[in-house]
Amino acid sequence: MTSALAQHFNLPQSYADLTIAEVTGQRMWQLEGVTGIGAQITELTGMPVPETGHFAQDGDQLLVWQGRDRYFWLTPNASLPEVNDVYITDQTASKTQIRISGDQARTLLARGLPVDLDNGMLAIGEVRMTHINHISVVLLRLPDKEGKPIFELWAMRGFAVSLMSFLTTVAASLA
Amino acid sequence: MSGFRSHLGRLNDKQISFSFNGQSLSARIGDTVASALLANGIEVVGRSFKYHRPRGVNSCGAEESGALVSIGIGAEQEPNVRATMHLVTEGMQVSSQNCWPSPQFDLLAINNFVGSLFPSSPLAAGFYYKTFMWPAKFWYKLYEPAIRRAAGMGKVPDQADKAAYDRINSFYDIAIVGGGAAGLSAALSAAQSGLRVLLMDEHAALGGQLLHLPKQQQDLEQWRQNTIASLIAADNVTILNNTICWGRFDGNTLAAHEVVDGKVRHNFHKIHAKKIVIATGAIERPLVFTNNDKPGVMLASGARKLLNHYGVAAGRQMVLFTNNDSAYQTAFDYHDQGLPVTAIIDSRQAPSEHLFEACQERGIPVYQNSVVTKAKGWHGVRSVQVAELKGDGSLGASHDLTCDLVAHSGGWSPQVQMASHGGTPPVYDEKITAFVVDQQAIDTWSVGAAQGEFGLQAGIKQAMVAAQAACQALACQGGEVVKPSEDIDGNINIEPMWSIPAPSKQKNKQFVDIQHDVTTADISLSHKEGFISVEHMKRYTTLGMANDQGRTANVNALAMMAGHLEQSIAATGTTRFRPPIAPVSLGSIAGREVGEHVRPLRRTPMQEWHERQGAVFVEAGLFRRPQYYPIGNAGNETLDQAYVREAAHVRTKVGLCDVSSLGKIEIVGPDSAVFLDRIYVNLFSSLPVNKARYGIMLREDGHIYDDGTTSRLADDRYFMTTTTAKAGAVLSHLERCLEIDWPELQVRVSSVSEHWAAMAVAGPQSRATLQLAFPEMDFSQAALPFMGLAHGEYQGCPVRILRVSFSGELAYEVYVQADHGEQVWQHIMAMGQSYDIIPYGLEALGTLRIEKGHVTGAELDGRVTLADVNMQRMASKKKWFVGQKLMQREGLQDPKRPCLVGLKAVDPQQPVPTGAILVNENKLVTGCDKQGWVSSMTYSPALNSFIALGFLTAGQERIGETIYAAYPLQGQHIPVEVVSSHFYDPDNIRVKDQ
Repeated sequence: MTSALAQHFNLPQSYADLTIAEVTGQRMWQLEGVTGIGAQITELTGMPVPETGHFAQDGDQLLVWQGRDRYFWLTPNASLPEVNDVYITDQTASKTQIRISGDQARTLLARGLPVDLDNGMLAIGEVRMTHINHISVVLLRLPDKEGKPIFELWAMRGFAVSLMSFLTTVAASLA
Repeated sequence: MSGFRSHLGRLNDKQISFSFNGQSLSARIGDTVASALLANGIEVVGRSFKYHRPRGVNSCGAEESGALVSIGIGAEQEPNVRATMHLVTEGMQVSSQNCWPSPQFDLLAINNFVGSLFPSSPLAAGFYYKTFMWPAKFWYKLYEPAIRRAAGMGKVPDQADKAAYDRINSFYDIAIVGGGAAGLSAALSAAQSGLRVLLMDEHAALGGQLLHLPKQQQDLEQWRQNTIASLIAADNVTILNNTICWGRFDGNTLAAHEVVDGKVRHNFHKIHAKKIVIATGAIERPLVFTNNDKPGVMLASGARKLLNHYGVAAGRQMVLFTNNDSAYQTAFDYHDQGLPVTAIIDSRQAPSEHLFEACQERGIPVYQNSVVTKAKGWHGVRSVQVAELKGDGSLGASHDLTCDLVAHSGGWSPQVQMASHGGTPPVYDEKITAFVVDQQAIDTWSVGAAQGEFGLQAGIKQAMVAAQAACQALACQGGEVVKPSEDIDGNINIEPMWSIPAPSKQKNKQFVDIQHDVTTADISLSHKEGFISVEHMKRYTTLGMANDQGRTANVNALAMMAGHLEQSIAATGTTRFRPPIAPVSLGSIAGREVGEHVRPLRRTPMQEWHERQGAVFVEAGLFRRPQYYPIGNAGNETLDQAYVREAAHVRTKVGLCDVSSLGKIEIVGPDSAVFLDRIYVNLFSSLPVNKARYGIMLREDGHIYDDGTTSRLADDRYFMTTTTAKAGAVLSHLERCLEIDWPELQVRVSSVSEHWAAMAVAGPQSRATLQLAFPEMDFSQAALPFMGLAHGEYQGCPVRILRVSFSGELAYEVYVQADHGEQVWQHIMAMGQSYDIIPYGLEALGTLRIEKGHVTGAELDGRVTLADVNMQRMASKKKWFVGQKLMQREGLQDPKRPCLVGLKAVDPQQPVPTGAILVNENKLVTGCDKQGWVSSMTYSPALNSFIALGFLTAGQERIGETIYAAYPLQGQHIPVEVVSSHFYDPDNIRVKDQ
């Protein structure tokens, strides 16, 4: 199994007050329904259904809102039981997860993301569907670690190398 | 030699070195190029745009129209930099522009003298349009290159710019444009609200016109420093120095250009602000007299800031020329520094009483009711001619005064560009003889000198009130700003003086737009030739179109135009203000979108393998797909050799092709079958599980939208593939249909394009190859017939295998999770070794499908119908589908419509160019009827001939005819035989029955 970035970058890459890493090892299941499926999702994942524009977290597992009656569940579970009215689609290989952390994370992301990353505007637990340098991304704000912000970008696998190249090029000029 | 360093001003004494035209010079940290050049006695900085007249520093800010320089050399060179706006850094290389061999002696200065020999200058406005009209063909090759060499500004480097530029998105509650007294006050008030505040200023030092004052004016200097310190200390305030805000756009979006000294050269800030305070100040206007462009003629405010902020005397002996009170302080400051002031020339009857007394105390003569009619000297001013102004406006007796610096002031023009970017024109204010903003834009406040309020304390109060209003609108409270105890009187007692009568019988020039060499004569000519709208006058003369954007020229020019039209300035109006208001580097607009980042590259899961194999790539949307895989020691097999080899190999053995770029969509839900029946022209509800079907979907207008195969994974789950080009569009189409047209359908669609790697295994040995690769699966005809779907796995990873064929051979499409794509690809290549497997590229793929008569985007170009591609029988009569009604329109049913045919070159070795026009005539003649066109062409190794697909009027009835493919661009007229589009295995035996 090969990540899209493995042959191109030695990760994580660290800069002053900034780390760029790839997150691997989880399965990414798309859970969706044609009617309200909140109860079934909770039954399946054991997690509360996040509100619009948010995600729920339980340890390393994330349940991420992705639209009306559609969630992405990041979990180590390699297979899922069938649940009534919930359509499960494996999207594990469709997205590359890039984690950006450190005091310079906002400075880096502002050089591409048209999103207000201020504390009061993008709180921990919020998710946005946006773009960076013409590449569509899902943006998550994870809990801070030691007072430093952590963001995650999910890009389509095919664009991961271009996105990482952009991020590392810009990061190198921030110091 | 005129300027010199007289003291330190606000700079410290740390010296740095730089060069000007190769000459090593010293500067102090904080010096601009302009202040440093003057400190070193440099008078002539460069030559002018058209007349090649000597030009020097004539201001101290963004309005600079004389001192344009190039910074750096080679790829790093930045031309047309205003010397007043760029800080000197250690080792900086500065050079003059538009002069040869030197700014002191420039051969093309002959332009200036030629202009003086004729009653109407040959280089006046419209000269090029009138002169270089015949012969027309000379324009591009002779006239334009010669004119461009003779005129213009700096030279654009011919090497790629290696500097980095960033584009930055930022978000603020209140953005304040301009860091003068008003801007500082607005920021300080807003800062106390706790809101996110941005303060921008185009200069390195904040303070605006407070920096024009002597540092010794302690109360105001202390107020400036304390205010800045408070803002720096506030966590919620961001200060951007060296940042010009160059445009205000819809939605309170501001664009700003920051000059950075670091790894990045410029930043382009895209600023989203909830509220905007515009405190851009005012620019001093010049007086328009003969030779007012000479080095040594300088705006009084510029001369004052040079002295007090940079510690540079702009000359050794000053004459001050003014029509208002504000300029007097410049003469006083120079005098008080021990620098001689020859006289003050005032066009008014008298200055304010207190100023007159101050002149008397200092012993400075004041010539009232007088004007400077001419500056004398060549490389710089050496004297001025002064004349009395009579009651009727004519000139009286004149005399000369010695000086090397003419500081002049024609009043002040508020910087209304930003406030007017929304489209609201400014209005003329008689009191200050300038334009101001009458109607503020939503969420925007214009304050201080930018709004025509020139008084210091009044401007501070206005800014504070605006900031408090902005805060209140955001449900917060702005704070109070403690004003300085000193004030600056805002009443400048101006009496307008739009142009000075020229000394009699002299043809020397009076410049209105110095940077573009536009004179009073040009404006008169413009009016005389009928360009009476200010918009036309601007374009005819190019006034206001240089990189100073007419900051000093516009109001004078409008007033002159109003005079010619014998109407008021208010009635004459202004031109429309549009961004950018200052030069913006293209690099900053491009940001990081250069080189490989011009647009993102979309990689397939097997991209690295293709690269390692030395594949030659071709762009396909954002993908770079392998076009062919050259072989040979030198890897020098040509495209033509390679694709023919690869295609022939697939026909006889087996080949592997990366088709991961196909769009892949999962369709789930109890109404999925109903949904697909509506989307496709053919039935999908009848498709059994684990079977695939080729489908065509139409647009609502009845034309073909896209095609592909869709397989049924379960009763309520389908797996659709689309063409590469339409992957995103088809998904959007499906979503739109579900969300808007048929919300009652219980269906969800989602892209799985990136999750699945896809590869086509094609050729007579494809079954054997896959059987080896996936031994636990059964690939027999019985187990996996044509259009069948089988499921397996590779090393625990799910694999889907479809038996479909685009090549016309026994073939399969293998789908595997993208993270395993390269592994599975390599596995199939390894297993296929026994059968001599090769990879094949897009070109061979095209050959195979043309031989087979399959259509792609070249044929399905949005203009064709089912009948046009001979597929009308695919349309189901049992159900309704998108496009069904409109495909029956009369125009689309016309039997004479061009339809798909095969074309075979009569000479098998003669290519038939794609795009060629099909005609009946054996030569292209006027009036010959276009019968159709060639859509795709290849050399067919199966037929040993060039073949093509095309669209021909009533084509199906013309099989067997010989017609012509005309390609006039290359003088080709090629006989072709009309044949069936199914060149190869028309009965599908190779695909189905093996």
